[in-house]
Amino acid sequence: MNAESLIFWLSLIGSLASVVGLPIAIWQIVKARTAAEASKLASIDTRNTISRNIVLTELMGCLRLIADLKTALRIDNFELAEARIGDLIRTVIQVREDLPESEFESVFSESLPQMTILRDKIEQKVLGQSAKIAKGTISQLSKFADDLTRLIGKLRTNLKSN
Amino acid sequence: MERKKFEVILDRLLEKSMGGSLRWKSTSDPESFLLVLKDSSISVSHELGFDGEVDREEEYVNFDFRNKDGEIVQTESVARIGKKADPMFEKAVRIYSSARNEALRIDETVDRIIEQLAA
Repeated sequence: MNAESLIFWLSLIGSLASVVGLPIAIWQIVKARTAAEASKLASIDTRNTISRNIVLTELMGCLRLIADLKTALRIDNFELAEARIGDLIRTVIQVREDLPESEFESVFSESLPQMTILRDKIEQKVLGQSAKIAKGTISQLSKFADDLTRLIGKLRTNLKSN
Repeated sequence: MERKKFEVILDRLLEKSMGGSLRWKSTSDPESFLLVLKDSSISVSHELGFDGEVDREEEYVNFDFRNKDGEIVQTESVARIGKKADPMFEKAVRIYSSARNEALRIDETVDRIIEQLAA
């Protein structure tokens, strides 16, 4: 075999290898990309589940704070009520920020101004100023607790279905 | 807040309140009523006072403008001191009365009483 035919055969083998290798390379790139995307989606899912669990814990905390607040108001312990309503407002704002779904926004849009009005009344009481707290306040807090319980139920259902 | 903007808000509140399209809610303050908007809210309250030194009655209607977190970002008051009243005072009182009526369902209750007394 002379040098020219050797070069010819080597080129031919090289060309054939390219024709076979290119689709394999493309197929492997696509496979790797799909695997990377699947792994990214799994990581997002895990992150969402963790974040939902944090929100659930925060919501349970809100229910405890509401129960404490109602007790404090019933026994006219305004110092305790002031501490609890401050914590409640902060936690509710946190929950609202942590919840990606805007469908739950309506639960917070009314409760937050209602709570800040109550907080201002409680602060006036702590300072010894004359301030009246409406009779319906305890039932308003109970209604808010009911809304949060429904929200907890929805989040749990979403977690199970995922 | 510019007085002109406040006047525009009062006009719109009055118009919608009279049309019955605003859902005012009662609050933990018996004299304050809340209107929840998309990402803000307004509360309106009424204050009655008496300045004993000059033997003069004072009346205020306060509007608190609240942000998404429920915190007050601006307060506007409309007053009547003795016989002198702010030009927007009557409008403000009508808004307050309408808010109170809507939140406490006063008309509905009174109508039911009338019905029951007629039976």
